[in-house]
Amino acid sequence: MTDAASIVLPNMAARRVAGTVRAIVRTLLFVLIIVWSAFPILYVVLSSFKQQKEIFKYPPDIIFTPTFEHYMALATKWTGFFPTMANSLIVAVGATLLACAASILSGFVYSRYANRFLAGSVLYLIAIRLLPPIVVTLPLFPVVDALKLSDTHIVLIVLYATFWVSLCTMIMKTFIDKIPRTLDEAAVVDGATTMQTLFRVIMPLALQGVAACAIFVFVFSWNEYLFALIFTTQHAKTAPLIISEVMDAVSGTNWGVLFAGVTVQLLPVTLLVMLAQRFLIAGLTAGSVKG
Amino acid sequence: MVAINIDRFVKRYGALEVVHDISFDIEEGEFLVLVGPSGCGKSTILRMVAGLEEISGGELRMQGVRVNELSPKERQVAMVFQDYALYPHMSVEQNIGFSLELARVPKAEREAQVKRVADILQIGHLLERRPRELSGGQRQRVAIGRAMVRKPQLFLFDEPLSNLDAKLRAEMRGQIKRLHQTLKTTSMYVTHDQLEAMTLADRIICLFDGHIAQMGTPHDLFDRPANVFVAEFIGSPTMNIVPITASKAEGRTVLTLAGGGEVSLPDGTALPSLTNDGNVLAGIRPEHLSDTPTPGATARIEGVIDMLEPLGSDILVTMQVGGATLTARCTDKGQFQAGQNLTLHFDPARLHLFDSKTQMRLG
Repeated sequence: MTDAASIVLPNMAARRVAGTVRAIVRTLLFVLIIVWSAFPILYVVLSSFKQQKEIFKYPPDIIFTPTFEHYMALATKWTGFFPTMANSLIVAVGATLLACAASILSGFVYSRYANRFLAGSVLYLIAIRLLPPIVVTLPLFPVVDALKLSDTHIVLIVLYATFWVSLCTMIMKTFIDKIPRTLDEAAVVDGATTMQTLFRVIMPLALQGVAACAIFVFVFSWNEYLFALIFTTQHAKTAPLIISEVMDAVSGTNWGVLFAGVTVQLLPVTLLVMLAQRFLIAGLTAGSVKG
Repeated sequence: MVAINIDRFVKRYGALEVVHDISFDIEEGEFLVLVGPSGCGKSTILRMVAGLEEISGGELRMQGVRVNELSPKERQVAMVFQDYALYPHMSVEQNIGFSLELARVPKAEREAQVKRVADILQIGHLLERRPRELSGGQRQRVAIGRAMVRKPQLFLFDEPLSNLDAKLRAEMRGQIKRLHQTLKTTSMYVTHDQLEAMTLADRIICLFDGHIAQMGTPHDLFDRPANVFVAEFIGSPTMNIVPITASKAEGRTVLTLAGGGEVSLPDGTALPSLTNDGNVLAGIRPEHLSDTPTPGATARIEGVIDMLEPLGSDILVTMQVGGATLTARCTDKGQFQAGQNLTLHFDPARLHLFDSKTQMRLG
């Protein structure tokens, strides 16, 4: 007994030390990643409350008297900013609804039905995500023009939704795959149509997937710049375009106003992501582990 | 009166045929059990009747009308699934009432129907709960309630007790039996458990590899198995089947076991006409072998005890005899020991003989 104990004890001590070292390294890595990713955001948000002359002071002040002058300037001198936020909201909500509706239907089909056409089309769904957006943007221009959709909310809603529907379909398929097929069969025996089965039985159980898709599409649509720049001019202009105008102003870049604009722009998505964080992680890891 | 008529059912998945030309009827109010090992096609037949699997060949008639093309709802069948298939996001009340809701039954009537079923199944106090808050037995009762509420023409049960522990399984088996005696709804029940089949069925269909091995009452299958497969599948512990050669010596019938042991049958024992020069398979159930002579004409067989498996009041005695292994179910009085010589007695009328090539029953 004593022999066994004397053999085990040094090993245990060594393991404890190794465990502590691992924990310290892990914590340091986390801190590094958090600082790396949070620093620019923190810098922008703090700078938006600083006097113009304090923004580029070196070393920067951590403690300072906050001012709202840049926010006032944003509202009074860049009057287009807040109305374009409304446009951003319309476009982001519209694209989210459209992408989610399409992905729920297509995810259900890919999960529950199988044939050669469906198997082949998965490749195209994924391939479309591999193209850089600019490749499809230019050929789209005459089409959008011919349909008289230029500078409308619809064009951005359709484009953003289309861009995301392939990935969201795969996310929804993964979520629906996890729902036992006997539930569909029970619903069919209970007298449900295919649509009733989808909306009354499947969708309530795949809500996490829907939420994950909604967040992806919303955040992308809210921040998107390239399509908005090309396809809108006045009426359907979104907030990121105004921020870029602040940067390129003929009078020079007003960094304080720019940072204020970016901070306001950041707020809704930050709140949304924080609220729905668990859905987002579920969406990112969907299908990665066996349930 | 025939309620369900299954006429030459065939099921194919591509080139693979899994159900081969199967026909049988179910009488009005009858409890029919399909039993067989995994992969014998029993669940496939049930799902074809339910409308969940396409019928590749043959016809399904309900009350004399062809229903092959009708949806499950139109066929008026209700089904209890192996994994219960309760909707996890709905309460017990919503689960049971879902089919009525889809059929647009007014709320008040729906609630009354759900309550009626819940009272019969004694789950009235669980109506507000979600399936995850229920025990296995309660879930099973909700699943049965969901099927009952629709007042179907045919109840389909797909191995409904296989996810329950042994005690609960016995309890639910009794409940299903009582329920059928009360409701008298025509029922088709699929199981791989021969005990469930024996206790529940009015009639059993034993399936093997997509064919009907035997169809009849539980007694028919137990007392007169049509072939070696049914003989071994029905009954627990399984029937002893040994190859023997039957011959006449000094006017008596002698059965010689493959390894050399002999069993002498009493005078006047009538055997069916034998095939293959008397080289046949003989079967005897463990409960028909006894360590004490039974009244009347008995046959004897001698061997050495190999293994003992006490069951409480009874004991399973496995004995090596003439190169064969026989199991007997005897009353346990502590009289057995491994390695000891033992003489077992049996009534020759309990002997089952099968053709050694076709494995079909002789006589």
